[in-house]
Amino acid sequence: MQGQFFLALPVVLPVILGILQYAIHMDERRREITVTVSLFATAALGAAAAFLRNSELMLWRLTDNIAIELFVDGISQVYLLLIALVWPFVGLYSTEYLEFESRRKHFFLFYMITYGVLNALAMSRNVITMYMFYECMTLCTVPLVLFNGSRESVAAATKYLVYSVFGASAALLGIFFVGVYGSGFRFQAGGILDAAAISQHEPLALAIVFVMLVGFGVKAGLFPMHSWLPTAHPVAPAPASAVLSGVITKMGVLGVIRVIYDVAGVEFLRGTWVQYAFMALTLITVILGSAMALQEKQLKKRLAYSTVSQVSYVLFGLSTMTTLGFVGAMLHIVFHSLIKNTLFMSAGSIIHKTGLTRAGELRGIGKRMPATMWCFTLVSLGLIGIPPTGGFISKWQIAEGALCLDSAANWIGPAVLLVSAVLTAAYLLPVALRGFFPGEDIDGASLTKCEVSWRMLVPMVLFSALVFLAGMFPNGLIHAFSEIARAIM
Amino acid sequence: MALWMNIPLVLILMCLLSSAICSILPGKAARIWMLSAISVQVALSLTLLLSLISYGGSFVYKLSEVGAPYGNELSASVLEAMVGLTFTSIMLLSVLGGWRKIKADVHPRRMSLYCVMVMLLLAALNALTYTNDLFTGYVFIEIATISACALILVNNKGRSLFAATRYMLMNLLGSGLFLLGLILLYCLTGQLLFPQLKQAVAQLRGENLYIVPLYLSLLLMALGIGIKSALYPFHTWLPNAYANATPASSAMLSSLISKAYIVLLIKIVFKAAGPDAFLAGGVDDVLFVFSLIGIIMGSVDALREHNLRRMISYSSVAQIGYIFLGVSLGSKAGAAAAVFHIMAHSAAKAMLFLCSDRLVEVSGGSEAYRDLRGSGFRAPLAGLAFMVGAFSIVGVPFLGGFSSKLYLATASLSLTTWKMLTLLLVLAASTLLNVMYFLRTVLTLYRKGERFPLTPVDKRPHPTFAISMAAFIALNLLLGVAAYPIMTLITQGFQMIS
Amino acid sequence: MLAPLYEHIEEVAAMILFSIGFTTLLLNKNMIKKIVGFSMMDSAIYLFLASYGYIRDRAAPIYINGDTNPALYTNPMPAGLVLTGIVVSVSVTAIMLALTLKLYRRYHTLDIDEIAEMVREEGK
Repeated sequence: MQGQFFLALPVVLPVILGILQYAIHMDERRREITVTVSLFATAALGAAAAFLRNSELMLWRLTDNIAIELFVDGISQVYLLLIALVWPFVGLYSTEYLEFESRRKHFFLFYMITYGVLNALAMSRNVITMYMFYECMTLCTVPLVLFNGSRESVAAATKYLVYSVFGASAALLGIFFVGVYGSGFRFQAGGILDAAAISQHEPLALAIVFVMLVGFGVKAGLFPMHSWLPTAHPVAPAPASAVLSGVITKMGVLGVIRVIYDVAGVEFLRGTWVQYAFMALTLITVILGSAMALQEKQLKKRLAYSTVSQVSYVLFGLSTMTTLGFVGAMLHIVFHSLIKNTLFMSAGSIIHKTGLTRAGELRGIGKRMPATMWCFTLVSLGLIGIPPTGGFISKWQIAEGALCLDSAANWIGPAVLLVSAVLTAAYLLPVALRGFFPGEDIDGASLTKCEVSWRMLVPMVLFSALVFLAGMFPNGLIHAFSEIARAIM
Repeated sequence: MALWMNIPLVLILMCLLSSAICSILPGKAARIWMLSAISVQVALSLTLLLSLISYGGSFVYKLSEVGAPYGNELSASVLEAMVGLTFTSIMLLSVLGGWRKIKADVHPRRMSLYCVMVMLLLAALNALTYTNDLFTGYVFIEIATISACALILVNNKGRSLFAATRYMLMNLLGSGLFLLGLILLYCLTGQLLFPQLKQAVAQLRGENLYIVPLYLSLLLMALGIGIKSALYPFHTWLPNAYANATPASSAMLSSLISKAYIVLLIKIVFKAAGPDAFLAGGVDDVLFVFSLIGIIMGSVDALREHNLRRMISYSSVAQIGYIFLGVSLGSKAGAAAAVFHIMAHSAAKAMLFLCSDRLVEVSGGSEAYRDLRGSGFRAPLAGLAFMVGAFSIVGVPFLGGFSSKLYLATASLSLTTWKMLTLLLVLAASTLLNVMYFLRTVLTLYRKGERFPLTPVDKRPHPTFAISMAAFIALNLLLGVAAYPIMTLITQGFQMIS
Repeated sequence: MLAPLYEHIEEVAAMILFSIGFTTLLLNKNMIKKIVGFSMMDSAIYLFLASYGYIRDRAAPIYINGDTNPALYTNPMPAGLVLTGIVVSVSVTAIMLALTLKLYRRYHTLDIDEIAEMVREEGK
């Protein structure tokens, strides 16, 4: 082991603490405190690690030229900070949401292990390390999907596993070829493919990059391998659905970022069929996800479909391979993560207090749980992309990135994004509107107030506020992301 | 000659002697004797390995005054010592893990015979590992077969009787082919000792004499060993045999016996025939095709299976395919990957057989998936062990199976593009298949079932079982995390023997 | 034309025996016949080896008059191998016969397919 030892802490600590809280017998109140404190402590460590820019750590070797290595570059920084923001707060939310679950220590165990794995994934220095932690992430999140043990959740977990592993296998296949055609496995701005080695086999190399993109795309819900997402996310308990949609899908995006910018290199891909094919897939997903969300009645399922669509915005931004598109994509990663977490958490709050799951049943819910519904409404606006929310900024940047292209995609892309935004409005706003304006036939007096407590409210309010603040003062973020884009392009 | 250089011979003799002693001891004493003898074997193998590492080379141990080309020899390098240590320690852990069940399954009157057979098997394993001549190899192949047959038979069920018969028949075919190949090679070269054989083969190839019979003999030996270790189309005996024996026996059968044959094959390829002859004769292509088919078909069969132990048995067929794949690459890197996979798979598969028995036990003795639901909660330790074993075989990072797949893929880089492409595709496809059947099983273990409650059956597991499972889990993790130093040793070993 | 066949009559015989044994072992359904096939197969191999090991006009490798010139004797190795091999195959045959006996006692047939059927029935 050599290098900056500190990088290992945010990986190892949550795993150990998670196992400890599982193994040690303690009363539930103490367990809640332990879990919360550990999560925030890990978040502090993760955030601290994010500022150790350019530091690195070699954990151990696998072969002469493959090792488990961590490092911090611009992209890891963004991911580390994002996870450090989202994970502990959703954890706080879950302590109350799962209050009456007898098996919640299982949940906390896997929730915390996953945190460590995510930190490692964000800091992975080479493709092998990334693949290893990627697989671990899949396996650690399966128990979250499986949590309530019903027949439905077993089916969903199986589907989730098979799709994810299919994706990971495809990625692994690509990684093997990186070993053949690449100069090592370490990420490097501009790509690691060896120009001399691939000059004879360019079609093969392109095909492999495409396979890797699709492979990592599975986790991000990319068409045609998206159908696990609306099955698996909603059956998990709300906090788990929130992070699955909000964070785990972004890890698929991380894989795509690494493949496009750090393995294949933009120069190699720009203008090839891979770029256009990938772009086409993302656009299909954007529309498809929104359309499916529109006709879905179950609220959590609708949100899951919306994730399918929104994550592909990010992928589309990346596929433009322009600075603006990249910045937009990074912004959308952050905003969508915050927004989707809030949406799922508010859906969860409603279930927690009222047990209602279908969008049609939520008439008048705004009177009963005003704070929750306000958060829901505000972030819905963000997801549609109405100024001055963060969603507007990110989508604007993505569209601008697309306009820079010199092919048919420069108008198809923005047009698709626009249509999808309209669809987004159509599937989110009615919920909010009927929540606050139930109509004449519902007696206002019968709607008793049943707001959730601070532990569930704080994360939602915080995230919604951040979406707005960042939308109003986006320059800092845009500047930071442009720096990263410059470094890797 | 240093004292420790006697260890290979001591290992073999000690096993033979112990089996003689066990035959006259009463059941309980024989069992204790067996356990302590195997423990001593582990210690000795470890000593041998450590001494060889510090010695930094290989050595040949002559068994008679007569010099080469006559007489028998043993030889040891880091490679053999590694394999030997794996075999003895897996044997120890299997006996420990199945301890309670051995007492239940084996009739008290037959107990000492069971111990005799286990010790004979261990003698054969050691001999196959350390032998330096072909005929000793053949003799101990047969001893291993006979003792394995007895181990399958021991619980005296109709099914295991039939399974043992099928096992025997298929194995007789295999050893017939092997013997034929051996005799052919002997007639061509007049040599049986590995180093001399290698020279003679090189000479024949150099003079371009008897090339076809030479390659034919190699092919026959490889096929014979392939049949005996259940390479795909010859695997039909395997599921019955593994699924019906007492768990300790299944663990030994699946993780030791077939592997020992393959170790012998590796030694033949690298020490006796030379990898060049192996490649030039096209034997590698034959094995390559068989193993690829085996990897896929074994997994497909496992996927169709709804019986826990049979599913694990079929997965062995696929895993044997991986090992043969490594051997078929004909390079040191490939064979090193194969040896690593032998270790990783032994550690995982033995554990799977042992803990699956426990899971079956807490599910009312039924091996059907339907009844196994929730058994992971009823027997937490066995559930955890099953999960680790399954993950290792699937190739989840940080466990042994992942490392061996990685090494296999790395080794494939020396192949021609098309061969490499096929190999990598099959690797990726089989990973997916493995996930489908193994993780389906893991999910089954942890879902609610109707028949049984979800609370643990025992307050704490049986101590020998617990020790064995803990050691197995640790071993699997070790093989995943400390793969690099282990692989370095194996590679060094290959440098020493060729 | 048949001269080579005649000159190598032992090898030819060995090959024929081996193929008969191999096919019997592989294809015959009767357990006893399978075992006979196996025995034939092994014997064929030993015949092959023994015939190779024998050199015409040489004595068995036992010193009689203190004559140590190796050119006078045949190679002792093949004979040794054949002996060891015979021991191995006898023990394997014994085991197989014992197994067959047990199977017969339990299922009252020697036909392996019928036994398989009955075992399957038993399992249900």
